[in-house]
Amino acid sequence: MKGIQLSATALVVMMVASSCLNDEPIKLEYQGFQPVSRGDGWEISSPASENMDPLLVEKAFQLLYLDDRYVMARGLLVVRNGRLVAEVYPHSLGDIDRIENIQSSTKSFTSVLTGIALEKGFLDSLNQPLSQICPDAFTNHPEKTDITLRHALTMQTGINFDNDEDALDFYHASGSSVEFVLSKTQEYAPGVIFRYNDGAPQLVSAAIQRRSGKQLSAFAEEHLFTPLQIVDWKWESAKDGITFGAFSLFLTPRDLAKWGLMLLNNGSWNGQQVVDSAWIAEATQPLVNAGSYGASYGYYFWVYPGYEGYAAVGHGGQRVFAVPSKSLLIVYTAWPYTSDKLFDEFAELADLIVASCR
Amino acid sequence: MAAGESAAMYRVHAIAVLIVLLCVSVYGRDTVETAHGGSDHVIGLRFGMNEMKEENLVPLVHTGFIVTLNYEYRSEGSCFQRILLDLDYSRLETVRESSPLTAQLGLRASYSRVFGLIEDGSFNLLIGPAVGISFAGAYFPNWDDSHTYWATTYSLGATSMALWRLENGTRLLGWLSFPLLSLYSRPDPVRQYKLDDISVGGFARDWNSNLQAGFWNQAFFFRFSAEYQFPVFGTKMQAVSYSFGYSRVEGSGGNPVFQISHQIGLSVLL
Repeated sequence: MKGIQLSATALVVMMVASSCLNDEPIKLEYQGFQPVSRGDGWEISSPASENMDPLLVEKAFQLLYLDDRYVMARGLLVVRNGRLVAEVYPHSLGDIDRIENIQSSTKSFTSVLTGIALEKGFLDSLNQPLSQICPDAFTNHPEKTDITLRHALTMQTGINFDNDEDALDFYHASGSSVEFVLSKTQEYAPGVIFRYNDGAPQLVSAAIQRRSGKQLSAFAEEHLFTPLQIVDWKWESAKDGITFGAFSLFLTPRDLAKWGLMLLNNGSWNGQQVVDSAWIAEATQPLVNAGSYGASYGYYFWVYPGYEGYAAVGHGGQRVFAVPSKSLLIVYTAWPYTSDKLFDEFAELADLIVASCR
Repeated sequence: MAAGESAAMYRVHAIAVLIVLLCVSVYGRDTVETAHGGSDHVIGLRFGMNEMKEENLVPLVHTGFIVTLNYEYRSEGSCFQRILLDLDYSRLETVRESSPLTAQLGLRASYSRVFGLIEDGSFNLLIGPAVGISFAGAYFPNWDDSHTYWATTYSLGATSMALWRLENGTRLLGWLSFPLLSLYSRPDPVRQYKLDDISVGGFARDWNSNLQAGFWNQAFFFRFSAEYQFPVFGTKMQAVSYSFGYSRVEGSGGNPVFQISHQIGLSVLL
């Protein structure tokens, strides 16, 4: 009996003492960046063929695969001269087909859709007050009747919508999402102060829905996704049915690149003018000083004069970074819910890839 | 071995152990003189180290402290009954972080009845069935600031107790428990919504979503505790203990969550 007791005790002690968990690799092993032709319309090429320094591109992609860098990276794609020259999915090869939340990069889609709505006559002009488009929403907010589409597109509504404090409640709000935004205090006069927030794009989304009779997501399907042959997507709406203008569009990385390439092509895709080239030129100009963010801002596009480029940027580190002068597009996707402590420096990747362009 | 054969093997083992437990419950009804008889309310506090790996999110080990508030009701008669309530709180971090921002909450409740299997002088071994509920929820603000991650289990399993009566009224107890059958819930690895519903109803719904039935190969948790009881103030008993917990709950997409904890504690038998 004592033998059994001792053996059982020893077994348990050994099992307990030897137990611990181990880290596993976050990323796959690096195996180069050559894209695969999948018959999805992408023309495949290589950095050397597109007059890029392959060694610098290689350096950027190896950086992405370091254990302690870009830990939540999901995809990196480089397009030059309209061709896909480099592509990796460090977390899972299946990410190539996976739609994922592009977070605030969504705002730049809202911008493009605004351009389409203007071109098609659903909206009159950027100087049109939103209160003319949705007068009922402003009945209880007379101090906000001067806010125009332009103010909303440049984050200059003056409304005190604080993403840190309000975004969570905004997402879960059961009533009108427009009322949620307008119920915030009018901190400044419209057009004076840039204040990045998730509320202003909701006013734009509501305006397009009111005038087109379609949710922004349905409007996008008809006027943007269908021409670009994007079929796998999702776009969340607030509980009142108004599509979130600021976030929660889900796309695959290659479709995100397709949209970016359309921007580089001045709004044209396969010979069809999807959005007016003048709109893209205007929306991606440095229209507003973004202050502490270290960049300028257009119509829901971040503008980087130092690169002669612009970007759609989203939480988690998402980037669709276009450099028209070099006919270059970089798409970086990451786990979309990672805090900024783990974003890492996209600029380090961008510097290498931009420098590789001869 | 093929996956189907493996699952069948687990199923046969689980059912066999349940039959044994049932037999013990029916035939093992001899009164066991386990202790001083009667019933006890036990309140305890445990501290220790916790490790967790949530493969639905990132396959890195989160490490940190864990504290557990514990209540037990023990009744000794023709069998030994135990009602257990544990409330855990843990703060954790990975090697990639500089401070323990990840938080984990755990709530476990179980009921077990154990019957005498072996009695040899001052030693008793008891075994019997146990039912349990466990909620373990974690929030990883650095890794996913928008969603919670959980492992909920409703289980039917086995537990055993070993008791050594020592000198001067002191006792040494060892507990071992593990599930055989479980209903378990884990988050979907692909959540195509920006934020969780953080209302009470939302948590209740989410943390019980996608309930699946499984055997110990899908939802396994092993708990071992050793407790040394000694008298204080004449008739009152106090105990120091060591607890070890291991759990592995399969994810709906195949990515399990693991947890290992080592704790020492102090409890008072009221």
